[in-house]
Amino acid sequence: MRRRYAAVLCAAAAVVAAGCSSSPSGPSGGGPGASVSTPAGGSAFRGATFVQPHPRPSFVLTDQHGQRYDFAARTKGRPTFLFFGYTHCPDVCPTAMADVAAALRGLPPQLRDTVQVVFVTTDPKRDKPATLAAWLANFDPDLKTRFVGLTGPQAEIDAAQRGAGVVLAEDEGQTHSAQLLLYGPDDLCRVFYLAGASPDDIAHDLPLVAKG
Amino acid sequence: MRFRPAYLAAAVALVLGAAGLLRGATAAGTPAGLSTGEPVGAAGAPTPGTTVGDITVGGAYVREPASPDVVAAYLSITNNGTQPDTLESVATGAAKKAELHDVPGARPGPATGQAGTEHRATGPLTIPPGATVTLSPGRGHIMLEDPTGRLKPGDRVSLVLTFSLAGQVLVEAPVVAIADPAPTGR
Repeated sequence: MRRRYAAVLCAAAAVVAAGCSSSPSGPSGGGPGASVSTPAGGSAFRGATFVQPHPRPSFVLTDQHGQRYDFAARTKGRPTFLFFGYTHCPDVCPTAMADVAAALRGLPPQLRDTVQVVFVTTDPKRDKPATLAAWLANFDPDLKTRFVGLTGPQAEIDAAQRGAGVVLAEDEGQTHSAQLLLYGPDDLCRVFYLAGASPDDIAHDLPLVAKG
Repeated sequence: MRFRPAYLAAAVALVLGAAGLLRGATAAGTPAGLSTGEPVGAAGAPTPGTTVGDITVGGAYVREPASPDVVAAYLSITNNGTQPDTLESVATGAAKKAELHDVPGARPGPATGQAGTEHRATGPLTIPPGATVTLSPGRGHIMLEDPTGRLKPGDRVSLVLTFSLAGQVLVEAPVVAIADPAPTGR
């Protein structure tokens, strides 16, 4: 309980504090995705939860193999992690991917193999498909269902972030949402994770989310 | 005649700056004949803390980078004294530059601070008496910019932290594989 409360308190700051940049920028722009809270009665999840579940967004980008990837169509009905970040991130982005991979390794294969993990770059200028492929291979080489890395035109990445309800990234993508979103088979996101969450927390929640 | 640890640490820093990264052959501790303070064995922590004056630095590790040119180090700083002490700077032989980033609540760096954003380089970090500040993913890190080589699990990275009162503290941070849990739990 304490952990969850702390995570929510951090949310407002953490969603914009995930980057790492020495370039100057304007003030934070706010944006959608601010309605973060937990149900008053507590929840079964260790992750932070949304009062209003967010529907699975629809967007089409290019994956790490250079192929068109329709997020809604490809992930529909499956437990899905969605994270916005960039490969030159030293801290939150690789930690999130490594934590998801660690959580998945501890789950039974019949559940693990159904889980989709989708990383959308907020830095499309640098993160081309080949960059994403090399970076993601650090995390998932032993997993049957490989992670998906997406890039594309900035406007379409912005639209994807709006669709997911996360704070729009700034500064060439380096200041970005730190929310690791988890959608269930019902195509709703009720729970998400910030940097303070552990692989154990994620592994705890995944079977609950997968049950729907 | 006795040398103060701070001066020795400064000498070590110069040597490290020239020699670059300490590779896997170096066991925990410091090069032969040099002392950088009293090792303090923190319970359960694989890397012993190093104490100089009232400052103990422990739990240091470097995460194996997923992008070779972007490296983050994490550690905890405890102020055992009765006065605030301030981490002024960090130096390393493993990269051209090391700086604090994203430390929550810390002052923004002089050249880059913007109201409402804490994702920038962080200015001097003050540790109140009796307090422990822990850098962990999402809660601040030491960014190693322009690493001098590709860091791999098993490597050890030297970090020299310079405090206003305690002087210089040398710690060695093991490089932890991407898929491995942090030695400190987070």
